[in-house]
Amino acid sequence: MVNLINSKNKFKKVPGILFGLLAVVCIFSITTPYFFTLNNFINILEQASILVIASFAMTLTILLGKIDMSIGSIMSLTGVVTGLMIHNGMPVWISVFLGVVAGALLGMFNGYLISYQGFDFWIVTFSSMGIIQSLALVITNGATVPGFGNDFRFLGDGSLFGLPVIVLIASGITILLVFLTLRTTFGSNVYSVGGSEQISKYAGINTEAIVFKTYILSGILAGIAGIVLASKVNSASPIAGSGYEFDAIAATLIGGTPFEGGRGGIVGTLIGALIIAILMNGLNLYGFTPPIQFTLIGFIIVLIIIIDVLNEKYKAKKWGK
Amino acid sequence: MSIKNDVILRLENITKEFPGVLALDRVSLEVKQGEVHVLLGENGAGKSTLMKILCGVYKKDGGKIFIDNKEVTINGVKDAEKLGIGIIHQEFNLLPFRDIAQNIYLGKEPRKNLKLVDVIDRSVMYKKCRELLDSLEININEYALVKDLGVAQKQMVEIAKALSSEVKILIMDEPTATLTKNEIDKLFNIILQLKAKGVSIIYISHRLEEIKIIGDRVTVLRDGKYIGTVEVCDTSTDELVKMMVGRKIENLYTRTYNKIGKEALRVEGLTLNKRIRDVSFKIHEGEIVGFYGLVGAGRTEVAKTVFGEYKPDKGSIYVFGRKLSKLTPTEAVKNKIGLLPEDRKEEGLNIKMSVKQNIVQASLKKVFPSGILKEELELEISKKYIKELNIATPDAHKIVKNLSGGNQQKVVLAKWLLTESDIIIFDEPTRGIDVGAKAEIYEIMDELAKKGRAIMMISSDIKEIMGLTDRIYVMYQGKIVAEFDHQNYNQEKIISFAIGKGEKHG
Amino acid sequence: MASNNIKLLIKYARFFILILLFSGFSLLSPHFLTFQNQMNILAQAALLSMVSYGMTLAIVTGGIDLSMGSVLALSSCIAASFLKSGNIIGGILIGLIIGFLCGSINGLSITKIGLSPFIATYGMDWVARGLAYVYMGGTQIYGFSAVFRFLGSGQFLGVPALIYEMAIMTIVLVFVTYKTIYGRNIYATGSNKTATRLSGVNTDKIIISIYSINGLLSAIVGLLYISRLNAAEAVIGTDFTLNSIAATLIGGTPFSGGEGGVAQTFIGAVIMTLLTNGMNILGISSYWQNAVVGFVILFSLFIEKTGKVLSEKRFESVSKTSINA
Repeated sequence: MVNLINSKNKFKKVPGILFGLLAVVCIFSITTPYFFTLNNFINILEQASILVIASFAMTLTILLGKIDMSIGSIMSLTGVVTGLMIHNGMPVWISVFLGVVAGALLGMFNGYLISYQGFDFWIVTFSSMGIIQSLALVITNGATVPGFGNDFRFLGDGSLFGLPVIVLIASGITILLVFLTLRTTFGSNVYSVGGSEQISKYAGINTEAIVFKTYILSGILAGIAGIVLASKVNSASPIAGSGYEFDAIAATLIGGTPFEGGRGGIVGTLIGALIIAILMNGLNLYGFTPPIQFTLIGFIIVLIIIIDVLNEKYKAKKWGK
Repeated sequence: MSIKNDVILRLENITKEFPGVLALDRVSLEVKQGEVHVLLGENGAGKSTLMKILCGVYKKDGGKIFIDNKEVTINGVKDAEKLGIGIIHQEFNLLPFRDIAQNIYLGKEPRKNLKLVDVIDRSVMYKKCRELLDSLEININEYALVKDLGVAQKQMVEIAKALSSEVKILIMDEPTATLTKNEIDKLFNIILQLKAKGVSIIYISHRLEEIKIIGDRVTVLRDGKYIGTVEVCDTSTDELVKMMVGRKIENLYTRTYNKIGKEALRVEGLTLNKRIRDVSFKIHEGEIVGFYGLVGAGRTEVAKTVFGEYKPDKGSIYVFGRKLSKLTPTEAVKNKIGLLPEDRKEEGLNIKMSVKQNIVQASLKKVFPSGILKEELELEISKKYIKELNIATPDAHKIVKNLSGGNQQKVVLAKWLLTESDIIIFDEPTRGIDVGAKAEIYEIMDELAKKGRAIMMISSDIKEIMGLTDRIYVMYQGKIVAEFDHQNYNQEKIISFAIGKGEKHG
Repeated sequence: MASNNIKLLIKYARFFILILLFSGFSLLSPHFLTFQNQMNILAQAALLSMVSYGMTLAIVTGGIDLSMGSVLALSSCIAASFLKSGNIIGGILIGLIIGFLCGSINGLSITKIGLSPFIATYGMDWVARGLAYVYMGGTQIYGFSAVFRFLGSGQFLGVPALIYEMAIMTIVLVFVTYKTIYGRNIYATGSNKTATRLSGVNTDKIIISIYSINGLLSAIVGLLYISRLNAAEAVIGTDFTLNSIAATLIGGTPFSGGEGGVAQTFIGAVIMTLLTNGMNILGISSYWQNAVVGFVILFSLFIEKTGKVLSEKRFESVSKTSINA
């Protein structure tokens, strides 16, 4: 008989990551004077919020055993769509709503091609990354949509009950997604499809519908991230979101959701995204120029991915498969 | 029970075609309420295909299905479930990283009544799961992850999964293949309980001794065709075997035992993380050596480790007395070892490529020493082997995918004949192949042994392995537990070693 | 039979597209058919086709190479500083070596570490682009010697040098992929890696070599590109990656691997160049370009799928579960 295992399995991996988080915080606290200050922590949380939301979008698709490379582009497009609508006199809340709808439609586009047409998820989302990026440039004619009024800026820059609104949004989404993935049949099915599409089919699950819906959800989340980003930086650049997909993949992997899908989850990704945000903040405090930061983060992320894949391989060997 | 004679399920003239094979040819079957109906047949007879049609995994190409005398259409797994059909698949259908309850209630989780989203009622789910496990006397925590279970425990979870919804007809596809004696008894108890409740069971097996214990009636399939249905109590085992394999059984195996030559392959202390443990054996020129054991006993792993596909943790391999320093498939081929893998279509062949391309794939450097391909030469060589091995293909350009299983296997064989391999490993060489082609492959193997090749043969077909080999190694849980010479072959003894009970029997 | 007609249509789809584009643009714009413009298109196609050949090799082996654009930038930027100092041979060599190394690292991380080709090469894309930025520090290098400039912008007998270079490259690669053992093993690896490895082919070596060749091709195109532009900066080459995927797929090399090839990709590269050139002539904003390219890729996937469905129509594919009873 196996040792009877308790029910806390899904949190098993978290302590390891928390340790990583702690390590990163310590290093930066010791090596830079400004890092360990309340101001900087709030700053980090604000920075991290957008990445957290974008990373959730990525995590859902990776849980399925797939990926969404178009997240960054969707962020750019929804940002400029919302921004342009506001500038054309549309009420802020309608603009925001339509921006999220745009994200949902883009996710639907990806999801349809992957689930119902059966195309490879890499090539589909990589192509749509190009298409969506291109659309964002077309509708803005390459220019950045400039500053907004205070009502829109409230989302990314305001505060409520003494807390930044942006952090509240990210927290709300986290709670919703934790509930969705761990307590609903939809969430359970996402894990199952990621574990094995065939077994899920045998169990009568409509796997195509699950994939389709997950990509829509991913699109919605990327849309929210894009809009909040525009609000935070007080402008909507048609390339504002580019590169977020890469950070989001890293956050997901660090958080313990491997490329194979079927395990890991939202809580891990939250911590993964925090680690990345702290890294970026720290590198910034060291005074590296943006190109060097960009390259260093790239190196670190590649390293993280490599370690993660090797770790999976090692574990797979240990389980004898 | 008095209702025992009602026919609950009737299949009429079910036909199913796969590329290159007619898997089921107008097969009919009647199952009565509360009976254990055994479906008997060799590998490739069509049993699993028929059951997959019944439970909605495959679509039939022709025929009708009646339940309670009403014609039904089954277009998917859900349809079958609604009709009260449950199945325990041959392969495990469990998600390793989900817990027991999540696996058992996969796709049918108990829900709370909320309008917006379907919320799983976890307390009900785990409670129901515990009750189900208790009723089946399965002593595993419902929160345990499947990846942490042993093979037999997984099998019990599969059974629980099938019984978690109301079933009228339960299909069991070789449920005892991985169970120990104790667990088999437990399973039989469960079957008796289900019978008493009026559940009909379709039991797929080729262990004849089990049929006697548990079965009421037997239907035999052979090569995708219906052969007949008999009552278990009025039928002898010999009769069943005859129905199963047809009359060709006497002359199916041709084997001329030759003089054994010098040692060709010697393996010492091979160990592969938990899957193979300290395996040592020898194969000589002119010898066919069988490896028998249950699925998962480690036979395929031994073959693939010898061939360099898996890297062993320990152990050495000697070819004609010379120790191999590097173990990779490339080295194995250089040392004239050939492998006909178990999974022909995924590992033995490039099914998207042509017959000729497949035949020369392992000998490119030998055939074209300059490195430049010559179409005519390739064609000429392929034609020679197509003729020699009697491969049924219109020409050498044909894509391998469109050939029948037997002919595909011959293409793999041609590949290793062209390399002039001294040591050839056959892993389940006749699985999914029709009887005619089987006999041809046996003949070729015998021919090869006569020519002094050393042959390692893995098979789960005890008749086949006993009929063809000089010696048999029996494997159990990654170890070689017994060795038999063909003079001492004893079916019961070999099987009892294979299921881990060898020591007691002596 | 109708389905046979569709099959033929699909088989020759890319030629129809080519003819359609060609005649369409000829009618729409008087500039299009001039010798000058035709030569210009071919010279552009030369650069794209050489990158696309690399992409094709990666896709034939069942992978992809998203790093080609950035490797192109990195190798040519570093080469440029040597070229500028007058060391032409040294500059070319260093560029080629850097390209080759980046490619080899891709190959190694795919085979030895086990990264998916997408992730491995996307990571390389980031790192190589980042290094190019760091190296250039936001500056440009321009004004190379006439000898070096000849490679990318010279003419011989009235025909751009690039076209000769493309012709040589095409002939060499067609020969290697269709006529040699190495080429056969590339296809075999792409169509079924396990079966090929179990036939004694060192598939890891094949894959590493393919990505190394890709790095080399990126570097070659990078050198020709800066020679043509007469300038090098860190941002160059970004469009090459997506464009070369489109050229490969629309050319008829399926994403599933093991089929298609360099010759088909040549047609694909001409189609893609015609498309972008035509869009320029018609005055369509260059911002549309990636959208068009992306749709071409998705359109190719549809063609590929339709072709497959038609050829396998008789048998519905269920799952890859084998038929054992």
